[in-house]
Amino acid sequence: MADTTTDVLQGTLDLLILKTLTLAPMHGWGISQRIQQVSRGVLEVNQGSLYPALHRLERNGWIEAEWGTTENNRRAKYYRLTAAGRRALGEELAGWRRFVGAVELVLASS
Amino acid sequence: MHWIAPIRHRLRALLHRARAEAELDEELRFHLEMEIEKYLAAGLAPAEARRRALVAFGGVERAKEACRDERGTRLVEDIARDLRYAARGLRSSPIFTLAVTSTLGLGIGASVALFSVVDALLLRPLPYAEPNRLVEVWAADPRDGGSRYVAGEVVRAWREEGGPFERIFAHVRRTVVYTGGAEPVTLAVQIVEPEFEETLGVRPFLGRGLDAGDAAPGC
Repeated sequence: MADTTTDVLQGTLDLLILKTLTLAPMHGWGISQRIQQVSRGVLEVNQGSLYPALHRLERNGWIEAEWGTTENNRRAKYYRLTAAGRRALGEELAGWRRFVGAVELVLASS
Repeated sequence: MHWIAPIRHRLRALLHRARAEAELDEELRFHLEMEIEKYLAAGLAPAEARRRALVAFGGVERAKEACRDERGTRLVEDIARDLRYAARGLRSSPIFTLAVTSTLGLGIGASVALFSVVDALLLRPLPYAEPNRLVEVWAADPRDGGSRYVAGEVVRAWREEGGPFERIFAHVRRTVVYTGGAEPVTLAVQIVEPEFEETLGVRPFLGRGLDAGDAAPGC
C-alpha cells in the first residue's frame, strides 16, 4: 500500500498498459497489479480508467482479447499485444521520452 | 489502414451487443472479486473488504459507461434505442398512427406521381439526337392567326431546294384500323416521311425503318 496515489494521464496509461503486455498476455487485474508492483506502489491505476483504456486500445487494434481461465479456474479476459500494438508502443515510447526531455529542459532553465 | 480495425470492432460490437454487455459485466466482476480477495487476505472482514474494493474501483456503473463510450457505437445504439421507444409510442396510440401514416402516404404518393409526370413530359430532354435543335413548325393562317399544318409541298421544297432547316420531315396524326390480327384494332398512328429517322437520329428497335421507296405516291 502506498501513501500517495497518482492519477495517471490517459496517454501515459496507454503506454503503461502496452509496455506491461510486452511480457505476457494478462487480464485487467493482473495489469493493474503489475503496474503497481513495478512502480513500487507509486502508480495505483484507477480501475475506472483502466478498463475504458483497455477497451479503447482493443478498438484501435493495438491489443486483442481472449477469454481464458486463471490458476484458480476462474474465467477472465486476457489481453495480448498485436503487431500494430507493438509498433504503437515504440511510437508512444519515443513521444514520451521527447515529452519528458522537454519538461526537464524547461524546469532546468528556470 | 488503421481505420479499419475500429470500424470492424464497432460492427462486431453492434451485432453482439448483448454478449458485449455480458462480457463487460463479467470482466469487471472478476476484477472486483480479485480486489476483495486481496483485502480479505490482508485480514479485513468480508463486509469491509467489499466496501474497500468498491471504493477503490471508483464506481462500477461509471466504469461500465466509460467502456460503453469507448466501444464507439454509442451513436448508433442511442439512435436504435430512440427508434424502438418511438415505435412503442406509436403502437400504443393506433388511431393517431393511422392518421399520420395515411396523411403522409397520400401526400408523398401524390407528390411523387405529379413529379413523375412533370419529369417525363417537361424536365427530361427529348430522347432524340440534339433535342435542343428540334423545332415543330406550323403555318400561321393570315385570316385568323391560327396555326395550320405546313403544306407538304412546302416541306418538300424546303428539303430539296434549301430552306431554313438542316433536316425536316412532315408528320400527321391519324387513327387507323389494323385488321392483321385476330380482331380489328383501332390504333392511333403517326404518318411520317422517311426522313424522320435521320432528323430525329433514331432507329427502330424492331423491324425495318422507312426508306425512300415508302414515300412514293400511292403506297
